[in-house]
Amino acid sequence: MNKLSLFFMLIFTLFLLTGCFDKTELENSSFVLAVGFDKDSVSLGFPEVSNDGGRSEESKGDKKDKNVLTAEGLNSAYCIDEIDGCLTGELDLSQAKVCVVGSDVLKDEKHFKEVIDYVERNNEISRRVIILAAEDKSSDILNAKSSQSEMPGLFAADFYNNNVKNTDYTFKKDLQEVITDILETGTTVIPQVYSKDDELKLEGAVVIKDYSLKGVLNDKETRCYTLFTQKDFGGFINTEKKGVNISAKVKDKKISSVISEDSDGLVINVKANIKGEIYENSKLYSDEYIQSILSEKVSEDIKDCFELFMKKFKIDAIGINELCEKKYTDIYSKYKDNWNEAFVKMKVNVETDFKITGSGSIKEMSV
Amino acid sequence: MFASNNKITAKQFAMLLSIYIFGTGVIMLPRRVVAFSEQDGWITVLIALLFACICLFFILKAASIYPNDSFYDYTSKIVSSPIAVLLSAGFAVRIILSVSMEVRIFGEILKQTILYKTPYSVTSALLLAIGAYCAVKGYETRGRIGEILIFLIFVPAAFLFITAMASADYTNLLPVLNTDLKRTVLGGIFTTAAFSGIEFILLAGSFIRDKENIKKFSFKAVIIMGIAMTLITMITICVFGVNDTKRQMWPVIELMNIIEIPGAFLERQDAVTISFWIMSEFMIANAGLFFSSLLLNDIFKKGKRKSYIWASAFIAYAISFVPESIEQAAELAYKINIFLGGFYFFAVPVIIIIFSKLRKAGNCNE
Repeated sequence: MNKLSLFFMLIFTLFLLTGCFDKTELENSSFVLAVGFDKDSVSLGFPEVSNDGGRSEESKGDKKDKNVLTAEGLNSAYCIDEIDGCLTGELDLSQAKVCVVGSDVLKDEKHFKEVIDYVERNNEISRRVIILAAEDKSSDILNAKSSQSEMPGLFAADFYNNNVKNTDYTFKKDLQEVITDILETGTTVIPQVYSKDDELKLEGAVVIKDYSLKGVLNDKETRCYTLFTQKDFGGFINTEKKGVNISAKVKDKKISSVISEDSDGLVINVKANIKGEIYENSKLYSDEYIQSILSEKVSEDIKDCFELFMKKFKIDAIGINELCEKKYTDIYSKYKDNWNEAFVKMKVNVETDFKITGSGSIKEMSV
Repeated sequence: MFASNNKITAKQFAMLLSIYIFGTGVIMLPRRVVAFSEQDGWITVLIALLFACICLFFILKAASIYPNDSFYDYTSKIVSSPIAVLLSAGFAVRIILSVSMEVRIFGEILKQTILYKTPYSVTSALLLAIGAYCAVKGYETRGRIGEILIFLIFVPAAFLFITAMASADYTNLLPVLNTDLKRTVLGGIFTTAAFSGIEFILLAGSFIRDKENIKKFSFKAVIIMGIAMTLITMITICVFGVNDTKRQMWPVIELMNIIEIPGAFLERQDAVTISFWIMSEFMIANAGLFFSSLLLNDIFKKGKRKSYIWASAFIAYAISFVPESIEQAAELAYKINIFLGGFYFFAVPVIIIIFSKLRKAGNCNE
């Protein structure tokens, strides 16, 4: 290559060093941490960028609503476009941590479908974004201030990244899981978030079938649901015997289900193998006795989970049809056309084997 | 230290072949096979691997008849010059069309995933320009680049997919062998197009120094890539489920984006994961431009090969604007790989072998 060509190539390269079409300057971008969908509006939550991070009374008072912008409009894309028109920086949805869906959207099949479709199609929003159901309006959640975090997006993201394995009243559900559930089974269960006394609480869940809200789980019902369905269940099994509280933290959980049929219909035999550590046993009952009490309690909770979905909601949102379709194809082919009816009449047998693997720093010596 | 004789080893050729198959085949593969055979899509890929090995056998046999001659030269000797011109021209057209559609798909995916504001024309022009420059430098240069890029592409990709395997739901592969066998086999035949690149052995034979090793390394490359694509298909089905895999435009790229790398500090890893695929697209562009220039140079017998490389690049760039959308470009690319590609995978090698036996030409009896 001659010197002249090389010279022009080097000069040309210098122009490229100034940045390309997609050059991004942080101060010119408006990063969204949380997105809230309500029936006729969309809210976007932006990070708190004041010096004290929004914790002082002065900044809370004036800036309560300035980190959250809400727009009303025809659909989600329209609303977000409206908000974009109010920003000095370029709207960036790639860092959104959480999408909160308002209760009015959840109750409207068409609207919820549109919201999921919008979030799924948008290449900027990651499929790992956490989906939460608001008790009422999603804008209330985004505007709520928590003592733990100034932004609902960050609060939920940090909670699910750090602490979800230690609780049984909620579980992590991201967009990918919601889409897979709905496409494979038509149903999904989404964790709920609500604001109470200036605190955000992740507790409870909502049951969705065919993009429409079918029911709400309270904290105890959510606990039974997470015990049966969630792989990373790290909550407590609490029970009471003769006025004494017994509490054990689950360390490992394996639940297997076998489906068969009898003359009356489907039968499911659930076998749960749980390992846990004793956290409370003030009467110092023996390990064998504790194990039997806790096994009984776990079996009761799993049966409660089935009762909830079979009798109260009459919807299979716990994956039994999926299990039957994948592993018991012959049985599934008989019931697939009226699966819900068969599910509601299903017999449930639960057997639990609870093993204690530790009891903290107290252990009574046997003489 | 380095011989400038424009020859590469069979091992280098196998590396280039692996990169080419990975770039053309894998991005939309799970979506296509799941459309045929649902959760048994991975079996479809295995069947496609079997057909690809059969085609590879015939291709190697055809290429070994006159191992030191170019495609145009040995087809002239075997089937006659006019037919050799037609076959070479058809081959050049097939390659340029494939490159143009790949470039279009590349530009569109980049625009929709990471470079939202960069015009598609800029990214594709850059890809073709750099690919053409690499092709101008000769086959030996391509071989050496392949030896470096193969590790840069496959080692991080393997790490990502192994991480995905840890959290995948394997029950999404159940029930196994529950789909219609005819559809699965038919899917396997069509999916052989994912092994596009093996027909380049017909062109590259004369550039390979150790011809006795071509067979061994080519089969190794195809089998290893076939197994890798089967595993990638399985992981995609496990992570997304059957129905979501069917809907997604580029499920493998989406898969690489949603994998949670333990301990990683990157919140969004899209740019990092897509860079592996960009490197393989670059190798596809320069392979296509290199081989099309060889064919055109042999047909017209005028001018320098460099001119044909830049002409092919310009033609491919112009054709890449023809489809109206990425969906159209993907469909066109699929049809080009099945029909034109299939002709050069199977029909052309068989024709060459039959004619060479009839005329008792070259090494046909070995």
